[in-house]
Amino acid sequence: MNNLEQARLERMQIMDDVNNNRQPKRVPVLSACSTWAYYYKGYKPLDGLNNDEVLAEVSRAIYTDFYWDVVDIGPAVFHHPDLYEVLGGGTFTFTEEGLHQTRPGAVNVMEPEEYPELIKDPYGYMLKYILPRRYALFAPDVDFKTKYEGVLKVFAVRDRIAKQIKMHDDIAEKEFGLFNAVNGMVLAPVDFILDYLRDFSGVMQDIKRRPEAVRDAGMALIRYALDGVANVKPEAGKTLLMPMHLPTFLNPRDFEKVYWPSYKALVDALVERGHIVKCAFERKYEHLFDFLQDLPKNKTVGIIEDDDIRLVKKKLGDRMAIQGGLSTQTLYYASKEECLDIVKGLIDDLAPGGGYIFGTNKSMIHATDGNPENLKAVNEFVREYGVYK
Amino acid sequence: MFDAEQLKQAVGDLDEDKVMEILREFVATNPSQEEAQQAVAACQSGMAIVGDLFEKEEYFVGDLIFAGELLTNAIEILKPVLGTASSAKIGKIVLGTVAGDLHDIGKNIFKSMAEAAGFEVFDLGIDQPPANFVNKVREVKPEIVGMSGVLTLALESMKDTVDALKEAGLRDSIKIIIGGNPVTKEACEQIGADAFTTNAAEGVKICQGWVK
Repeated sequence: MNNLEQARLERMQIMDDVNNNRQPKRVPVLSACSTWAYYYKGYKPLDGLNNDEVLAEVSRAIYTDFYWDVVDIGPAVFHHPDLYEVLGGGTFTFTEEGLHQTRPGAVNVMEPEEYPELIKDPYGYMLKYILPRRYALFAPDVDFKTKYEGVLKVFAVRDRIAKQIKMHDDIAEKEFGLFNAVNGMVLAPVDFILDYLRDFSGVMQDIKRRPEAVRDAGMALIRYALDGVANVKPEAGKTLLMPMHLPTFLNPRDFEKVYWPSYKALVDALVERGHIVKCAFERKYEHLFDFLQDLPKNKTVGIIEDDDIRLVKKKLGDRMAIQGGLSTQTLYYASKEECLDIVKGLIDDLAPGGGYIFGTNKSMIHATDGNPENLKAVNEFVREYGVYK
Repeated sequence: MFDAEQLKQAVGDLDEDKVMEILREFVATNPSQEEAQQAVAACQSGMAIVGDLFEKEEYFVGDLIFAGELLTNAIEILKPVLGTASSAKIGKIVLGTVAGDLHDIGKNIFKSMAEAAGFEVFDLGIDQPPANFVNKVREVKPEIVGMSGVLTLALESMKDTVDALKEAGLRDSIKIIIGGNPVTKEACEQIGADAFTTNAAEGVKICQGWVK
């Protein structure tokens, strides 16, 4: 076994310990350094989309120039404009630089009266109504041959995306002894309704006007979410990533009524299958901490975005591992000394007892998400200072 | 007529059925334009209750979104009896989501709350380049410019917009407030805005303070 392989196995053990909320050998330094890598090397994300050499160059640069133990999200992108071009629609649009965003007006393709049909048969409902409304390729008047050829093209683009992700993962593993800790992605059922069926304004009207329907649709969509990761085998050190979108905006009464039942049931089911679920608590969750205490003990990791992470440790630290602490804003605007001070405080307060993963509070997407000099300094610091003695 | 206090409270409670029932009954009595304005005012006072409950963390952003919807529907019902009379405005705000950013939920929440507080809001929309802010400021001469954004790249666009307003010689005649997920004190200083907020209700209060 070579040194890199040994380093990788040691890091997998560290992540396995920390994900299970145990004390690892040292505090892992996690990279959520995604498309920031392109800006760092003077490119734009678009430059890497169809150019494997650029992707390889920026991947090598961030893993050479900065210390890491593990990667959650690398520079290989999941959303490719060609995919939506072939499908003739979709919920995303791309900036000139190649960053994707939800396209305004593109999400809401479901009528509120259609909840009973969605609840009765989610797959059938989506095939019959959602696909044709969302994608020109699946419109009723498109002939079978065109659809068939279109679907082949979709597979080809998806294959290209998968190859780029694999290329990045291979570089990280074989050249740097790192590994991609995201085993798969899963969306909470009610977030699926928000993100892909009803959009913000729609889902909020539904929550106020027909809360039971939203709750029941969430329960019906659990199977859909589970099917999406049915082929993912649990692996030590890896997690399923669940970005959470709606709860930060819901009052606890609405959360309990409509979101919590299917979210809790889904997490339980995934844990039952041997997974650890990493929930990205986007924005603030303080008003929902009481609920989170009922998640399966030591089988979830929380990415803490804007909450007071010390408070999270205090309230939830005996139940789940936590990740984050360093705001991308601080990393971009503050001085190196200020960053180092903050990070020392994080290790002092959050590392004791284990269950802490050092990283930024958000993925680093744009140039404004971090100053390279600061990033270099804090990662090196944690590497040295975060060792359990 | 209608019970203004009851209408205000129903809006504050986000009790849509009750608000609609009161307003339908009211419109059926064929009220005068002045009476219709009073109904609008009662709904707007209800929005102030919503804002207060939001600040007390009784309500969350989802409730604000629904409140905006509720207010729009209420005004829609009143439209036939509102006529052309309009209430006095306390100031003008040019508002937009900055270049490169397509998010509008936060901007729209701020807009409906600012309008309910008596501002005339000129909403440029999303993904607005600096030149559009400059042109609109020249045209309507507002007291306030509000810039919204969710992505961190919006911070650059906000700075570009402030710089463009400076270059056009308009910066000193306006107050600038920035709002949205990525704004912080540091960002506000770097951008050169006068105030920042991640809370629409607080943002409206800041604006009210500027036009007193």
